[in-house]
Amino acid sequence: MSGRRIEPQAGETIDRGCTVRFRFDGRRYEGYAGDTIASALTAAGVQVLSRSFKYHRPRGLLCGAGHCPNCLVQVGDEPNVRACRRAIEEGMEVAPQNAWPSLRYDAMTLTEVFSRFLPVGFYYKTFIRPAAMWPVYEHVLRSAAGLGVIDQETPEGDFDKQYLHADVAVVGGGPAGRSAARAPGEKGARVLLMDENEELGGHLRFSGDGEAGRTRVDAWRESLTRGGATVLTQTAVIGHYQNHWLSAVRGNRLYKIRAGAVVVATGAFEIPMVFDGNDRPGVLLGTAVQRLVRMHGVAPGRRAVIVTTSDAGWDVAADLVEAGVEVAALADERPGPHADQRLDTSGAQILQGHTIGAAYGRRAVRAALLVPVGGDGPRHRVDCDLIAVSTGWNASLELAYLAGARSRYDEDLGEMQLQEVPDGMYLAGRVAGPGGLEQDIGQGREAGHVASLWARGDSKETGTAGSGLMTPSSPVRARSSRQVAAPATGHDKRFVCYCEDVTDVDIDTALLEGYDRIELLKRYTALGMGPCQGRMCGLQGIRHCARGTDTSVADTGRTTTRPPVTPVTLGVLAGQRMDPVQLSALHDWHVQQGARMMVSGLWLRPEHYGDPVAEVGAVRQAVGLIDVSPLGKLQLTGPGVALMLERLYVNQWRDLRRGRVRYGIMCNDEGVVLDDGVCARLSEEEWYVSTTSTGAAGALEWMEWWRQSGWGDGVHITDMTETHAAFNLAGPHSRQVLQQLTERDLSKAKFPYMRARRAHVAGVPCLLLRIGFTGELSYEIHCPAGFGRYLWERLMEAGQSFGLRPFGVEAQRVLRLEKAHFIVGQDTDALSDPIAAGADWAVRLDKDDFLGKRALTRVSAEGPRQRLVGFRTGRRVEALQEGLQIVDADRRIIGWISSCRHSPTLGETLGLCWLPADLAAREQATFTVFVEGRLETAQVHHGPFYDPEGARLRS
Amino acid sequence: MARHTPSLRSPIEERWMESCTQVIEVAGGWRMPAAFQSLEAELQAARERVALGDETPRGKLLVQGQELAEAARQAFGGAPGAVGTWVEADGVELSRLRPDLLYCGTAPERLVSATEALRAATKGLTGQLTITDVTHGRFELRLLGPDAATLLSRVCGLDFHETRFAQGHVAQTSVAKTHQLILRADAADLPAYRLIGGRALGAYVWDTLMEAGRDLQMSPIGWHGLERTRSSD
Repeated sequence: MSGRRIEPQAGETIDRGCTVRFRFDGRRYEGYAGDTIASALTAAGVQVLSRSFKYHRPRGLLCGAGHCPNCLVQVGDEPNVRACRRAIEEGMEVAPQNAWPSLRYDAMTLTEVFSRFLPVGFYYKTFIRPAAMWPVYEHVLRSAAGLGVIDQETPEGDFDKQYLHADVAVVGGGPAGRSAARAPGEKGARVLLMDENEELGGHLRFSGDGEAGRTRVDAWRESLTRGGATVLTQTAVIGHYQNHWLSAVRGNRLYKIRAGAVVVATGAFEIPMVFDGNDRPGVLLGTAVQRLVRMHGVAPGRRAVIVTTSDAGWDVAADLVEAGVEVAALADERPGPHADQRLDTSGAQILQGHTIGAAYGRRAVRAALLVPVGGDGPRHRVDCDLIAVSTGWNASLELAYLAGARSRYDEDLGEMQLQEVPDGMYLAGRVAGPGGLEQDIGQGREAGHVASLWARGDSKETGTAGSGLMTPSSPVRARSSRQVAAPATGHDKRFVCYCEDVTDVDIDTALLEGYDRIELLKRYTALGMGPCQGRMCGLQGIRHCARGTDTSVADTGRTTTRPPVTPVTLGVLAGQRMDPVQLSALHDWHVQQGARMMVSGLWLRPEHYGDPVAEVGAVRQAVGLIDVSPLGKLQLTGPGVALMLERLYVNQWRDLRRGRVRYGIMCNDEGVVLDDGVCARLSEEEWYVSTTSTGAAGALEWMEWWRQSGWGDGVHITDMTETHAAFNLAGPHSRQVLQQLTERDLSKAKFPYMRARRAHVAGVPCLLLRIGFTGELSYEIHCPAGFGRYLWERLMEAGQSFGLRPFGVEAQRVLRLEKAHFIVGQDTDALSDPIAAGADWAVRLDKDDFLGKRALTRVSAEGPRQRLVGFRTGRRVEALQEGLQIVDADRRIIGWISSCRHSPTLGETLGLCWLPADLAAREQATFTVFVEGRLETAQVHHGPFYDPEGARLRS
Repeated sequence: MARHTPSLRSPIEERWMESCTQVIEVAGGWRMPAAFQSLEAELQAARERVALGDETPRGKLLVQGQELAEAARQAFGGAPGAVGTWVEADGVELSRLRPDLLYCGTAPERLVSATEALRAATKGLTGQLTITDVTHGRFELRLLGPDAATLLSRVCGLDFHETRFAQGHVAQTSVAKTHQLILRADAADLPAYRLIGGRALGAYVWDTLMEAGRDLQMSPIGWHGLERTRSSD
């Protein structure tokens, strides 16, 4: 392997003995194990990795640290992979993004030709008229914009989440972070150390003495492991929430971390400088150059120009010289004189008091224009293929900001510095301010110690400035440029935001248009809203805003930091699919019989077994069996049950004798129907209460709340919903079927309607309720759920000769509608009271106080404005559906249909609807339903449609 | 009237039926998986990684009332003190879920005698005490092995560290977005947990745990394997 690969470096992360082959943009490349996509391509001489978002300018590696958008590529079907972070794998298919038809020749570069006609805000102003054209605009814009391509056929992938707990969570595995993580571990505290890189070490991995740094890093990992610390590398902490709740991502896993205290040792990152052509491939940040050289053994160019404001740039230059790269010139913003022995024999032209004015070249840098700071004086054009920019730093303060920390702009340093951080958070190392290695280590140790004390509750010391944890004291080796931007040459665009292609001219334009607050500026220009989330451009944007509005950077403020601080995939946020589903004891039987299942709350229920009409017929003419296990079932015991039920239901309960069952309605204190069901008094102090299926949890919670609030003295409530399977055996032959399996006398005289009996059915202990929703002779059979499948199968066998069919929810809906029974939640809503719903017969206003009495007394006196009432059509009307609106002669809405089905028994479409009370009161009154532009007529009907006397039910 | 011999089914039966080697009837008619692979392989998974078993047949009683501790002491000779703890007394695991709510877990064959003992104990008490058998209403899963806590941390926000949720701890909490009871109930030197929740959610919780434990190479463990771990308790 040749190209730009240099001699082996001490501490490099590649394995030169292991060659890895991959493809990029349709061509084959090779790299070494440990190479990133970007380092392997750079080694092969590839400089253009993608195209920019708006102007489709060629873009190459810039930060090398996973912050900027310049190296976003598509790996297989995964878009937006940062080439500088993703390791190459054998056979990997890598494709550039934002380029069509090819990376070299991109048709969308025309946007740059017409860029003077596409100023900031162009889209907002242009694509709003005519409004009817928006779908067209949207289609075109969506086709032209976006990041990468999503293959909708891609399998979901394996994502999950994991909860972690730690006394002290340390974010950042550099010198300060490692030191912070070791200190509490020595005292027995649980420590979690997270770092987004594949190895600990921070900047030591690519700067300073390589061999010594490597040895030191290895020793750290060992000592941390011995100390019991949990170390998670390749883990990006993306959020901080209240009480030190952190979120972090590692691969396809999202960690949710509860920490007692947090040490932020996230260091700082370099930010680009604004100058003409600052986005040209070949312009790299100094640390990116060092990473390539020291970690991957790659020289990113053959002839370099260094632009710097501090000693950091001189270090980069020295590294390049050592790597055999010719350093043509070094421009240092500081007036000088300055010297570095490492460059003495390099022949580099040292230009003190200079900076860069422009980068020349299109697909790659060909030369740099170095100009005096301030612009006055001779300019130097220097041929080169690499410009290393080391002119600005920004502390990684995102987590501190998310925690509520406040910062100020340090004019001398040219960076944001924290003033105040929340309790239990401590900053150490470069994030707290520039210093030296030993200072970082010392700060880390102190931060770890104090954090562990805080986590144990032994300390009230916080990480505010002045505590010693955030105050730099060493000479500053890396200081940011004090210039907002280099002097303009007019040669090329000057990008502030690489993600959204926002230039300094765009910002000036936006400011002139009145978007002169940093938050407004951000929203109008999209500055900082791309993949880098403001890391690269945030501070530069603030500086430009300050200059344009003639205010200080401090007064300009900053934009709000929100999680995630680094981009994450939606799959990671979603995690493992967890959709709880409740299955009855009969579920597998239903499925085996080909039932079509439907969702009802969390339950899966059989909607029908293929022919709901036949199922209705079986119940009306023979016998049917339905699984009603999802019904809520509560056991209430104690001497206070009757009184509590009196208070929670509108009905009367004290007079209910043992062995009897009564239908009841539960309301809230506004008289609105909450739930309904039956209550069976099994003994003096034992009651069995059923609720609706979907309302079971709510009803239990409601009862428990009132029980614990003083209305439940002497009452114990036990949820038996899942303890008992429940079936309803309904139809004229149901008695005969059931009698075959039990010795209990089921005759009408011994077991009449609305009674409860205990019995063994097929050897299984059961509770039988002679109730039903279908209007036929029926038995509700409750048995221990473990016996459910067994008992169901015995019933099916016993009913075979009687034509027994299982029936599902759809048939039950039809059957109950033929009896005009309402369903809470379908026929009632959040305003329905039992009087308006036609259940006034159940409301006992003459009893002592109960929930809803006051409201229902008023409704009873004044009469409801609307009523739930039956309707029939006398024919089959397919168009009538639930939810349709009922209108008057002027087509004003006066009501709606809440339930509607065709009755196979009666041969007509019928249902329940809400009508004005005066109309509802008139039996056979005609009304009209608005159906897709036309009107259908129906008639008011009072009472059940089928067997109005209830003779079959009581037989 | 024909003579009936009812069989009992776990809510997870359909899940383990495909992979178990044999179904056996235990504890009064419960159909359970005897094994999924060799006994030694299942025990090895439990010792070295994590294993998941179905123990739904275990007896489950809820006791409500202010005097439940006294009743438990009279019935079994012991009672848990603080809410969130459990003790074993006379072969019954007694978990204090609320000051007035006790959960009793028993071996399947101990359920009847434990219920009778509790009922007998209530007769000497003045306050109201309700004893409810919820064996059929709850599934019970057993997680065993050194990676059990890691697996649980993927579906539950509790801190399962030794210092926070040690042997003898119990919690009502959210597991995979459902309400569950978790007991730390080690099997001899193996860290182990009981998961007890609504029967209807049993299959879902089983599936979710199996998926969450895939990269931990979690193995299902049959009734025989569970018995072996129980015998080493």
